[in-house]
Amino acid sequence: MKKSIKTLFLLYVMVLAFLIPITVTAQETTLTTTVPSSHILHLDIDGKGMVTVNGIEYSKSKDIPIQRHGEPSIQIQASRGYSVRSVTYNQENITHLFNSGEWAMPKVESDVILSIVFEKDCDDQPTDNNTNYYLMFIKHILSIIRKYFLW
Amino acid sequence: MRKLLSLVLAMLMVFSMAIIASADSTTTLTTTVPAATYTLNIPADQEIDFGALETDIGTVSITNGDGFAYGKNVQVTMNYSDFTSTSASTTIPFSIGLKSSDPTYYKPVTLNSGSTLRFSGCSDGSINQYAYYTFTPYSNYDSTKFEEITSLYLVVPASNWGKALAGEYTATITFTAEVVVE
Repeated sequence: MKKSIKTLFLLYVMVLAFLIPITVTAQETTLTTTVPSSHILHLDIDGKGMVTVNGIEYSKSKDIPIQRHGEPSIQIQASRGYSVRSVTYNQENITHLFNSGEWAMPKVESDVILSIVFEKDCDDQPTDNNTNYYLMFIKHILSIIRKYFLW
Repeated sequence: MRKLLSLVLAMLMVFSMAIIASADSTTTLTTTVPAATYTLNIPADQEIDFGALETDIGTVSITNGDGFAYGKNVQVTMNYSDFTSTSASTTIPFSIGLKSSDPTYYKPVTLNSGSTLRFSGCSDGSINQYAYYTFTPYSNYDSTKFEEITSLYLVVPASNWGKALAGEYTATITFTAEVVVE
C-alpha cells in the first residue's frame, strides 16, 4: 500500500514537472586558456662582448627559453677595446644595475627582452700640439724621400 | 400530517428560490496569454590568449522576440568564477567589463558575477536586441551616456596572469534568462 502511494506520488510530480511551463533558460560559455611552462628571453647584443645567461655564454643575439617563474642570472663582459654602453630590460634602462657585472633577472612571467650595447673605446691619439707638429714633420720628410729617391 | 406537509413544501420553496438567485450572480471570463518567446544568443566558447589584459569575447543578444510589451522584459543574469586547472593549484581571477563606444570619454564598467542585463520589451510585441547601460564620463562637464551593449570584455590584470602556474585552465560563464515584468 505504501509502495503504491509512493509510486502514485512520483508519477504526479513527474506529470506536474512536464506541465509547468519553463520560463527560465540557462546557457553557458566556456573559456579556456593555457599558461605556458616556459618563456622566451630575447637576447639582443650589439657590439663585441659576452653575455652569460645561467652559465651559458652568448656573443650574438639569440632567443633563449627560460622556465616560467625562473630567475636567471645575467653576467656581462665587454671584449677588449669595448665597454658596456647600455643595458635595457623590456625597454627599461638598467645599466646602473650592472656595476658589479652581474644581475639577477626578476621572476620571468612572460616573454622578455634584454638588450646590451657594447661600444668601442676611443683610439689613443696625441693631444698636445708639439706632438702633432713632430708627426707632420716626419710625414713631410718621408714624402720628400719617396719623391726624390724612390721615383 | 397536513401541517408537516405544508411546512416541508414551504421550506422547499424557500430553498429553490435561493438557488435560483445565487445561480445568476457571477459571470466567468477566461483568456489565454501566450508565453513570450525569444532566442538568447551568448558568446561562443573560445580560447583566451595567455597574458591578454582585455579580450573582446562577444556579446549577449536577443532575437526572434515575440509576445513582449512595454514593461515586459527579459533579464539575463551572468554568473562566473575564476579560471581553474586540474593540473595546477593556482586560479586566474578575471572580471567581465563593458566599454562605451567612446572609451576615452566614458569610464569602463565591471560586471561582477551575479550582475544582470535587461532587455526591454517593446509595445509592438518585440524586444530590444541588446541590453542598454548608462556610462559615466571621466569629466564632470560631460553628461552620462545611455548605450546599447554590443561587446563584453574579459579583463585579466597582469598580476593575475603572473601568479598562475603552467597548465590548462577553464572558466564558465552562465547566462540565465527569464521574462520579468516591471
